[in-house]
Amino acid sequence: MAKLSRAARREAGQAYLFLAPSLIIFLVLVLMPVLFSGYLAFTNWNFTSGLKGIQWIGLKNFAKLHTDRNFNFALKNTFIYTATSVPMTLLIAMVFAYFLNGRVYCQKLIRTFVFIPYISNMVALALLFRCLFRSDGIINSMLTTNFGMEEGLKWMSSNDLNKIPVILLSTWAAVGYSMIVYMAAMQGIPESLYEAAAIDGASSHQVFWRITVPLISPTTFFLMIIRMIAVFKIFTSISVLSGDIVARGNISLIVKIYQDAFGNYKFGYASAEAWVLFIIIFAATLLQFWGKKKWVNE
Amino acid sequence: MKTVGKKLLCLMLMLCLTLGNVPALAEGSNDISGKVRFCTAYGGAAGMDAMVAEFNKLYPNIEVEMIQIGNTDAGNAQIDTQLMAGEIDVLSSYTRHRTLGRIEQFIDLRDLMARDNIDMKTEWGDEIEFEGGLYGIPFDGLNYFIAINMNAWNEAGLGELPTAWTWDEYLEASRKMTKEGVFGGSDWHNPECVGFAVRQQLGTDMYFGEDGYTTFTTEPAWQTAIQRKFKAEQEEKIWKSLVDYVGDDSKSQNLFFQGKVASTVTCHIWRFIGDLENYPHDFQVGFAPYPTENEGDTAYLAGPTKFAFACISKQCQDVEAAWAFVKFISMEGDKYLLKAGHLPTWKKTDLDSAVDLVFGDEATADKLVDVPSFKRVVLNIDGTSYLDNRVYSEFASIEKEVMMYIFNGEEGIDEGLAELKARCDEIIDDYR
Repeated sequence: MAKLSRAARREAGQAYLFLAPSLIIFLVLVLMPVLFSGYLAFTNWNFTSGLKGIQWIGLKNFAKLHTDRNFNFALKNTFIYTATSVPMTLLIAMVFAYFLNGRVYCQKLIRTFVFIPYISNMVALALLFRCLFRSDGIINSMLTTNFGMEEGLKWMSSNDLNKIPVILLSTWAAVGYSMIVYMAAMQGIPESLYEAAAIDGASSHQVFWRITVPLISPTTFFLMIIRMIAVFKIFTSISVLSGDIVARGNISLIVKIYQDAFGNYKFGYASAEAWVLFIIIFAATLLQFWGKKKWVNE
Repeated sequence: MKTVGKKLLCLMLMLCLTLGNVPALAEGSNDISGKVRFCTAYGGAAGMDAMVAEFNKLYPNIEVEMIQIGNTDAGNAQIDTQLMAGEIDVLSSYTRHRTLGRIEQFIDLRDLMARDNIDMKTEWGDEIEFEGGLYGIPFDGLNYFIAINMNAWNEAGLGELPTAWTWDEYLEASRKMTKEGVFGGSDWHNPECVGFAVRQQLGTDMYFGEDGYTTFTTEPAWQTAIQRKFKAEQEEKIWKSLVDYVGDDSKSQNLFFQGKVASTVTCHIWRFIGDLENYPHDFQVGFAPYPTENEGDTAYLAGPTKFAFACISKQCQDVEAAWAFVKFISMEGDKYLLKAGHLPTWKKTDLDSAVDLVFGDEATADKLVDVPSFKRVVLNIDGTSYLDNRVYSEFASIEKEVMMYIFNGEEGIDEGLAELKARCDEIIDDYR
């Protein structure tokens, strides 16, 4: 490699100087905690005993995961959230984007209303859902009044039902952003394709599925990845909806990790759980990229 | 003259010996100075401002900074972080000072107590050592009782408020007070309420058997308490359901003041009674003891259980100032906890002014509460209480979780109690 001239060295030095703040923040706030957590996953540590209290225990934390019932419930629930909320979000957002892209009465107003939940605070949204799904809330009132049910459903306390408010909230809060991204993608589709399809006598149904959907598939892929990662990390909605009582019906992996770390002060065990979650998200993302070749038009 | 002289000398000697053994109480001092950062869940209006003002009359050179942090998971994480960062000097601790792995955060107070001639048993009624050390002085107590809407009580023709009663008698009263839209009774709004009933019966270390493990599956008190709750809430529907409390995130005191429950198990409702702006109600509140299983049983929830303790952080800079503050809040200053709906734990607390402190004056108190039952039941600082020798902080969240599965109908009572035993015993093994 050719030796750099003094001027080039000076320029490189200046570049590093400008990069330094971000690099330092990245090292201190991201890389070091990640590496430390990787170490902690093989230890037993309750944080309050200080660094001297860290005890190396090898793979015991990972071995315990297999028999931890709540961890297994959390894992199952997290997969259910991902499998339901992600497709629902994308489908609803796509439909809204398709209709709002055309000439629709009050288009801007509807777009704004759909987008508002995305920019709202998740705690506020969760509290709203908490009110909606109370035993004497609007949902149960509608069920008993309009649908003739004798008693309302135990949305928040039944482990068969308490996932539903979480899924609905997670979907509702994300539709706005996905819709905006889809709208931008749809506006990028050449008008000539639609004109050609019209000339060939294609129905609107065929136009949507044969032209629009394939051409926005890269956007769908992108949204699928980011939504999947976001839903795998679902926390605030469950925390606010469930309060301080763990419920195996709706607990997610992040909620479990938080409870083990900050409720039970098992930082080593919580770190092991966090690394398992990271590996799952990483594997799922790699799978998505592998499957991309089959259905994404690029 | 020689005899008089001897007598005078003896008198002086006696005086010196007596005064020398009097604990250093409320001396006050201008010599001690410093800053004390005191962390508690109570706000200034809940008696803390008055307590600090009183303290500063005795110790004008000690500055007290209040740090209010709620008793939640997030709050506890904040407290631990601030303790480690050296930002808290005196902490109002619930279980930290008796939890393995946490006691290292606090100073062992035995030497300071010995220096100032303070005997734990004399002043607070219990020896509260843990792992050979004494890391907290009790200063905050809680007892449990039934708060009663006197309008509903009198309408049901139930007569005088009981001075002691059984669960069957309370259930009967609940039946009579139940009407359309109003539950006659209510338990505490949290799944830990089952443990209250068991505690009332068993007292200290209720979770543990002789083998050191839990007794969920062998102690009949658990089955009895759960079955009674099921019957009252889900069969007879004379109590507000725990499942609805949790699902709606509502509190028993809120429903009580709204007139939706005519009576409720509670511990601190008197904190809210005078707050007519936020808890409007038009009835007088009466008080009855927490029921027992059988007539004549010892009532372990009658007196103030030692709920919170004042601890000094190992990172405290002004230990003498902190110690002066800890002594004050756990002795003369203890009475200000009444404003927060809690009880003093110091045996020598003067409760004569308690009603005035809580309600302003007797005339106002008379309108709001049945004063005789308030003094008899709520201010019962000499009542029997309990103090666990073993505390596992993980038990509380497991108990809440599994009790909800039981009351949701997802697990049978036997299955739920077996799960409780398995998970709690695992915690015990982890610590061993």
